[in-house]
Amino acid sequence: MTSKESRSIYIRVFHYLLSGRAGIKFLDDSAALPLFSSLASLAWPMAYFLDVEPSSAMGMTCLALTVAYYVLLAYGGVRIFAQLTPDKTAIRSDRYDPAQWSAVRRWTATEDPSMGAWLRRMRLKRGKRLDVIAEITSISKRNLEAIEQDRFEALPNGPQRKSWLRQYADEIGLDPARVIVLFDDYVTGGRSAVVVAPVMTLRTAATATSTAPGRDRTTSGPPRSHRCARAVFDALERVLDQRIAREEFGDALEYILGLPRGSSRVWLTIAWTVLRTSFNAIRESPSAPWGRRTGR
Amino acid sequence: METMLTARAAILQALIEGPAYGLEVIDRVHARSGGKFGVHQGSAYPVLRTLEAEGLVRSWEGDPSEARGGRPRRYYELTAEGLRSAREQRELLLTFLAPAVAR
Repeated sequence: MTSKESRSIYIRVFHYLLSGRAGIKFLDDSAALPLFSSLASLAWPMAYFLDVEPSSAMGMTCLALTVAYYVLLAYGGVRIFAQLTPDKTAIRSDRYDPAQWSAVRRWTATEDPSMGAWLRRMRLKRGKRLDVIAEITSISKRNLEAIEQDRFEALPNGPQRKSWLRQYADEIGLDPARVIVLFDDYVTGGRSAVVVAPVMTLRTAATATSTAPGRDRTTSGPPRSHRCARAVFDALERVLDQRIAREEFGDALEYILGLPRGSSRVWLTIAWTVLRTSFNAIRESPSAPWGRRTGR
Repeated sequence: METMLTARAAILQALIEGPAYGLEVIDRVHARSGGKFGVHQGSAYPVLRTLEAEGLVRSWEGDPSEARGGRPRRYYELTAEGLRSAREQRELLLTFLAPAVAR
């Protein structure tokens, strides 16, 4: 094989590596995995620049690393697909460890009542580094430190702050929706066992429906359409104005629960709610989808 | 049916009965008009938020519930200013209709 031919192969493969690189960040369980994938993704371009013969031992090693990288990408793809399926409850129980919520009680009982300090402990328990979270979420390390040092006033007010808090919570394995509920209570000065109680109740209810072994989905819990609607609304709520989304999606879910099972109105309501709420959120807060208010 | 009621006026009148959350407000309007007039969800929520921004209505969140996907209900209530505005509106409407009734 001529040098020109082998270089052409390297360029083609490198192109695929670059195009699939973004998917690796979904492999969020450990810092070692992205590190390995980064090194593996470099193997092929290194072989190109060093002009290694692809059929040599070094060339084969680079190829093996590249194959391993693709396996990781495929695994990441499966994980992404799993997160996009309507029934998110199973994924949630896998992604967010309900046991971590017992720490909320310890937090309220501890002498250090700072929510930031509690979040930091949760992060350390999860073994996540702050700079890694900063890189994945594109939130600056300075702002992440502000969260952990309980300096929430240093963050931009409104949806941006909650959006960051959600992303941060997601990265440290806490359910973002519940962290936001907790945060709302915290900033309004209502942090107490009484205020935390609804969160704990929520957790208990969610665990009962999502992690009970051998549950029969057809006879217990909400109907499939309700679960599907909830998954769609949860996903959209992440990008829309929090107040609008919480209110309108919540009411829509309650309305859907009141409709007869199997009614075609259920699916129409879901579609209509998605369109209407997105429109309202965009109209009432021009830059809501990307979480930054321009003020009015 | 053609009506002289606007969504805004209907919601203000519905809230005279007491605090209610979005769906409840829509149901009240529907019930008060005997099912002949309704406020769509597409207009009810923006109107409620506008009324709140104008200080005629105040709102607060209730407890989260599993039926709502862990989201709380948002209840609305007329402020003193809102109650005055709703009463004025009602009187104006009744005054406006009076000649038609007399005839």
